[in-house]
Amino acid sequence: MKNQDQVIIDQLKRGDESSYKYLYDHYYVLLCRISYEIVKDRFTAETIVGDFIFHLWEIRSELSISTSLVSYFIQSIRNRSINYLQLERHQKEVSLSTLTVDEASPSSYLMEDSYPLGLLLEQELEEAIAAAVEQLPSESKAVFRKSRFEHKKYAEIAEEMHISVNTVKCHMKSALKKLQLDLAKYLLLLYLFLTYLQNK
Amino acid sequence: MNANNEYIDDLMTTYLSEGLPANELKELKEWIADSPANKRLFMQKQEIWFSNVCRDKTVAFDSTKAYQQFCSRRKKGSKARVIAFNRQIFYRVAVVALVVCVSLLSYWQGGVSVTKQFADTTIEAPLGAKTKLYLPDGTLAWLNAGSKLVYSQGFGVENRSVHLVGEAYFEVVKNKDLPFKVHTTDLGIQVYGTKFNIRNYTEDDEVVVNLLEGKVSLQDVYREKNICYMAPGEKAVLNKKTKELRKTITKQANVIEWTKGYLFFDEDLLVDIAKKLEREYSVEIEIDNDSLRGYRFYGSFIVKDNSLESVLDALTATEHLKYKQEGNKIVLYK
Repeated sequence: MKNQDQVIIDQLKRGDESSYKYLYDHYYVLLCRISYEIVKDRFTAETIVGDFIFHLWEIRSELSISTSLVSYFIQSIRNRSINYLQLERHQKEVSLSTLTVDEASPSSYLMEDSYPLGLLLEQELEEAIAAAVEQLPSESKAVFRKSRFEHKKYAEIAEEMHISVNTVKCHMKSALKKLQLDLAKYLLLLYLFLTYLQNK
Repeated sequence: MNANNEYIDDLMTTYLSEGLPANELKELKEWIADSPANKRLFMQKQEIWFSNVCRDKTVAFDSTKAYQQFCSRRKKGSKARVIAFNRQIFYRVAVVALVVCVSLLSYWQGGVSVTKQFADTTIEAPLGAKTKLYLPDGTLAWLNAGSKLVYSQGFGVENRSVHLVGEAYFEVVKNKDLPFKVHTTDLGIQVYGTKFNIRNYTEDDEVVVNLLEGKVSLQDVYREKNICYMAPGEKAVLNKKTKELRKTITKQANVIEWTKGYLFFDEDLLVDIAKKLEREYSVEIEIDNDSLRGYRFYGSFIVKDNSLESVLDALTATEHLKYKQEGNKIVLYK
């Protein structure tokens, strides 16, 4: 854990206003994006993160964080978002039971307890990831961004860029492959870290 | 192999970006479950996709406004939380509450029939009884006492996968497009159209597969890349402790004796025989001597005609062991 983290944790425990401001300035947007990635709703994501920070304030005297600050935040938000989704899914399944569950939706990440999502972000690799995307060949990069950030379908991207759907698909595949290659050293670290956790 | 890799890569990429139709999703899930290496590869791709959250400009979050909300909420204290909600939140809460009420009501009214649509189908043979059934694709399955077979609603359409605990004999209907798969905790089997018997009760020390006709491939969970093929007449035994898998030739006709009401031991360990008897006669059997556990016996009995006593008498007639009754429990000793 970094020294800076310890200073902030102490301030949070004391209820120091500026430390909560610091959380909003530095982590709020990232945490909202992670939650949004799971719950796919902007309002819900903001509510989850807002509730979480308020919860931190409520329990400030008993606050104990042994990992890095950002890991702790991401893990909490991930858990809260997944819990929300499970609760909501359960309600939907019961109330809309005549419809089949929409498994095809891209929002349904295959959740794995042993391999939680967002580990790269916990390692504060946000910038490294962005840089890797930046280094993709220009057409692949454009396709990847439209799909990942603008949530466009292959067909829409194909039309916009005057290329075939198959070409879009190829760009997506090669972009992901290249990112996986470029980020391999971090992914390997994570894998070793997890194996260590499991064997502990 | 390479073409297959490309295909799986296709599935993974499309899954993350656009989502997959149910049948392809199932395929992907099966591929992921196939080996830890597959799983790792998929998890890495998913991690990269997920972690790319930082450049999303279409969804903007306002941290300044959020901080102001936090400050006002803090001033009012936790008890005043509800009041701090704005009108939008109120409507959302109201809608959620309504959905909860409606769903609880419909859940209560719909009862079991609702959950059935989503649940897997489970067939269980109770202790002391056997079950014969035909699966939706026409495959014949015999379930031995104390066994459980589970298959999903998509069986016969999306896949032909079953999960088995215990012992079963299958006569699989041929279907080149959909392989028939049996999953157990230690060993998986893939076939296209064959007759075979598999036994893997949770408490057994060994997994035993007997192939009567056709061809099957086995994959145990201990060695991810080790696929073993069996020819008719072969018997494969996987030791769950030593993880050793060996094949022998055996008289296959005897293997499915149990489906005809016979109790048949084919060089089985005494521990496994004791467990068989426990399931067959619904009793408790204890082996009081560790060296006895490793003994193997061969023999056939008709369950309907043989009482537990006569089976035990036959075992003791080998003069390797004795037995006594202690209340509801039978103790085997030297």
